[in-house]
Amino acid sequence: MGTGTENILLDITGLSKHFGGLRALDEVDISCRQGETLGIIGPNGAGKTTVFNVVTGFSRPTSGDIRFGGSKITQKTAAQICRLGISRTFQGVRLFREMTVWENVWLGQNCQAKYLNPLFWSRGVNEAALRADVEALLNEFQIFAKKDAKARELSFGDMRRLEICRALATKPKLLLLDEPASGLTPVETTRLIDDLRKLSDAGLTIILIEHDMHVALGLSDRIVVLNFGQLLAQGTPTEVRHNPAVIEAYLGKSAEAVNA
Amino acid sequence: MAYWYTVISLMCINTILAWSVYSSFMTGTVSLGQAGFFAIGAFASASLTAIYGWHIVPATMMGAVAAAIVGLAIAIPTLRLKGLYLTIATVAFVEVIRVVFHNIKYGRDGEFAIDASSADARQMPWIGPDGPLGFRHIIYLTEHHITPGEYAMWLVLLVIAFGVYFWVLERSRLGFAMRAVEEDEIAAQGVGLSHNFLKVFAFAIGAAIAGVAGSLYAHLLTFITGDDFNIPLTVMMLAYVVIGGGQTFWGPILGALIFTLLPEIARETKEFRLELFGIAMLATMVFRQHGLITRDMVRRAETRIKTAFTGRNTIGPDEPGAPAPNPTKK
Repeated sequence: MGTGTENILLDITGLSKHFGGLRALDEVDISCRQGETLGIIGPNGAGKTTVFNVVTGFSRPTSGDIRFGGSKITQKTAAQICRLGISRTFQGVRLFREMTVWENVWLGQNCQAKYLNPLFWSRGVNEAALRADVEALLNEFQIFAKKDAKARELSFGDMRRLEICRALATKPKLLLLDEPASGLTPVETTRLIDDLRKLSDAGLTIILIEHDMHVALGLSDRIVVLNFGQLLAQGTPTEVRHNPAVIEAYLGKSAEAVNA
Repeated sequence: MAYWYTVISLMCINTILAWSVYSSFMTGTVSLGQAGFFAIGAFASASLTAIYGWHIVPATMMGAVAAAIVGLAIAIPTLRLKGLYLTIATVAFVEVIRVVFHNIKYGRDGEFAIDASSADARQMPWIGPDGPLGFRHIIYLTEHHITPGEYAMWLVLLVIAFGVYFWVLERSRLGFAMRAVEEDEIAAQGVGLSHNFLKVFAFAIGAAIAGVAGSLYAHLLTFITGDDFNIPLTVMMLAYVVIGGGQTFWGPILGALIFTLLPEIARETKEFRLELFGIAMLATMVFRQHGLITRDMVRRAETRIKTAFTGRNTIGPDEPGAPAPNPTKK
């Protein structure tokens, strides 16, 4: 892999993150091309979520370089990175729980709307069009009917979909999903896979962390395997499934089950 | 009648103070420092009108600006602190300000004698803060023949103006962004909101509002000392918001009204007033954790008013969980 350097959207080189003596990430190189779906897998504590936190600016890397669309984003704040076009969801769903579904998605658009305008209303921004966008997104994810319900009243599956909706409302170029299928019923998981595939077909670049191998291997064009903060392997789902190091470190005896 | 005008003026000032706490409350910052900003506004504007002969309006504005500048200076370093730690830092700030105004002296001799029959220079009052004796003779209102009734009317208009500010703010993207920071700082950053900017902004606006209230208070009472702006006062301001309800700007109004009127009405109960206050506080904490006025109440009332105006019953299809009125098919 690693061909076509000119259309690389996210380029992580030599990334390390140390928490005291713990090396959560140790000299990791990951690159993600425009339009592809990249899966990150690895056992618990492998540093998957740390990659997301560092890329989205929630924690500072100890060393290393992150380039997004050619420009360095290593020192930017989380809010700035979001406005540059990287949006994420969280491992435990983080919603504005006391606000309605509609308001959650509407808030996601603050990247586009000039929300800090001292006149309290964005001039030069078509609010009506933004409202229409919110409704389109809610329809797409089939939660329009619940638009006036509070976020905390939703079922867990709806919360997950709402969080993705909110992330999409920021109009991202790159969407980072942290275990989007965890805690979902099989039916909801199938629906999630369909929704994500639709997004991917529409040209969105997605990086997802996933424990559910059907989701990870089924959706991803390419897989990166992390173990103890280091890059263990990368390649197409088929390559990764047959990589002996991966089978030993992560898939273990269940490899046959996944292969089947 | 003048007594009731003064009560109305105090209600207005307390409402404005409650909103000054509410402003930073919107971003989830609990400030116990409002008494400090209140003091800065009071001393700054009273100095300008009494010593330098300014008009009350620009003097009030300068009081607000001074409080906002100090607010920024406090907010930027302390916002690294979270929750209670920030609150404690603001408490310390109130003590610092109180001690400063307890000790400073500046100003000039007055041109009038306290006792008109005596031309003795020693009878001339000191105009300006005079250490522990306080800042006396802030006589702008009497000098300009503004009656208590007129002053109360101006204060009511000012309260309406601030009310409009908060009404617009709560419906704007900026207001929702503040609420988002209050609910979940990390998720707010995740959707591109600069949480630190929002918190500092809300805190500075709150400080400026407290400064305005300080100016109005100083001119109403004509006499202020540093010791007026103490910790019980600052706790009282927070109580207006907590008991009235911190989810909408209506709550602080109710809190301020109750706690200004209650001591006046219950004057006969004398020293039992404080016990009554404590009981009221406990009852709210037990029975209404979000305060007397909650956001849901306001929403329901708004829907009802809207229905009354349009004559349509919009409650049905908009009910959560009900099917969308126009299911879109692609």
